[in-house]
Amino acid sequence: MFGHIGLAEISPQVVSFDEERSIALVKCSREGVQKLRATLALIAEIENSPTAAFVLRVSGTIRSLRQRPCIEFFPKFRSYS
Amino acid sequence: MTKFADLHLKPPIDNAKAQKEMAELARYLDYSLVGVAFRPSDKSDEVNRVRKIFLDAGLDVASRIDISITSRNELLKELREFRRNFEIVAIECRSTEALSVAQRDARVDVIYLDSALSSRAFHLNRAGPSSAHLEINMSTVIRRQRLPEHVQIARIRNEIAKAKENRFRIIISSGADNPMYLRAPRDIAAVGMLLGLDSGEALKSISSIPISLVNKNRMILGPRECGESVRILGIRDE
Repeated sequence: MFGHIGLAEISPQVVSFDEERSIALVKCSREGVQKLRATLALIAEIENSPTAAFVLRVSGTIRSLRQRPCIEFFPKFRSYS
Repeated sequence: MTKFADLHLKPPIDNAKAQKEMAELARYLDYSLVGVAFRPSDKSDEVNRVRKIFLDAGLDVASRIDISITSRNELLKELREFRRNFEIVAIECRSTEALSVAQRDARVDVIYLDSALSSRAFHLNRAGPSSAHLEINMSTVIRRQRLPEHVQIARIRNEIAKAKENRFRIIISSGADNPMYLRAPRDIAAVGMLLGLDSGEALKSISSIPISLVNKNRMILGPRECGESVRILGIRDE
């Protein structure tokens, strides 16, 4: 979406990934937050599987994201074509 | 606290499970108002059933009709038939003639150009006191269309720039016919910034602008309205 320069500006790094709940903790530059949000919102499929990515919380520190649970309940849904 | 609205949900009319999932997901994502789109051919009991599912999920529901037109006469006929029955009237213009008439008609709430984006550029040009809003559907950008993604985004950016120049208000909606295409409001606002809106405009396009459109129409369609700009304030018994 934003090319190599954009990627350098955003500098996304996956800090941790909970496979059971499919929740990732991603770190990025402060200036790149909106671009990263937009990129995640535009994801429609990964390896030919329909996919939707939602940003659950944004915080200035990783510690606060780890302390408060991101979600207690996320509605189940599936793709209907 | 900011209230968010998604004015273009298209749940499958014959799939109650998908409707329920969309309603629960929209509520979870913090939407307070949704516009549920129906077609002219949908029966009233189906419409009521779908409305009830969204209302039960805790959402405020605005009924919406999507009309796809190619000519002036078609537009005028559809508006006469449907204007008073739906809170939002959205027009998909498939020709420049239809677009020219739609953007001047005060009965049109929303203009969206999804199919037009894949063929040629249509440009908005306000010449009258119309209150039509330009709607950008996220699903147009997300779904793989005939055009490459960067061309689609460039066309949408041009349309938004033209709309801003002509003082059209812009709404961004998900256009979701499936829970997979719903997105959180702030994520949609972030896409709006990508498409040429600044941060304030992008947030308004998913909050105050759609909400004020629905509130205005509800007042107009309410029992106290008896003509253009004429409202009954009270009735005195004598």
